[in-house]
Amino acid sequence: MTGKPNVPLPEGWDMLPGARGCTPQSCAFRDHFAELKELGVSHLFGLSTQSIEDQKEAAQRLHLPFSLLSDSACNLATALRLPTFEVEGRVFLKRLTMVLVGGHIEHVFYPVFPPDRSAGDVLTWLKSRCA
Amino acid sequence: MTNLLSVDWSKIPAPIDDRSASHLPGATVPSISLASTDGQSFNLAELDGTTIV
Repeated sequence: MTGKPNVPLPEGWDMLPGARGCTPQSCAFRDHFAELKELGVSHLFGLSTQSIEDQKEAAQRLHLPFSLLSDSACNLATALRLPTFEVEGRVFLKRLTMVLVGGHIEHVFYPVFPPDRSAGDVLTWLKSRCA
Repeated sequence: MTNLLSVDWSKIPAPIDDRSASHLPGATVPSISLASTDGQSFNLAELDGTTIV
């Protein structure tokens, strides 16, 4: 979940392992967007259980060159049994990065920490795949 | 106000691998349409090439 500048994060958010850092993770992928494309990435998305309205606000504020997908009904999370956690009655996805090829999950980065290193880890993996 | 970008990660507990994603590699992506911030919707099962999510 990307927080908003004027809205406090949920109580205890920082101390939940894996909760904090959606904004730094998104910005890391923003900053490495061109390199990912050069290494053959066709599509890049952010995914969360936030509403599409909240995601639009974040995508604009952070100037993300990629789209965010909303799984607010947890349809994908349920079908794939994605790791989730609950805070204040809301369900969130645990931070993970998936590489999809041809309708299958080829690789999963989990857990992802620190979040701002996520894009670099994907770049390293893509380079080793190309090598 | 929370600074969302400058985080001292040494003060944040690191997540451990609780194996809750271990069933995912090799799994088929379910055919589900998701709303996108660009106004479209995407079905991750139908995309060509390599997709990072």
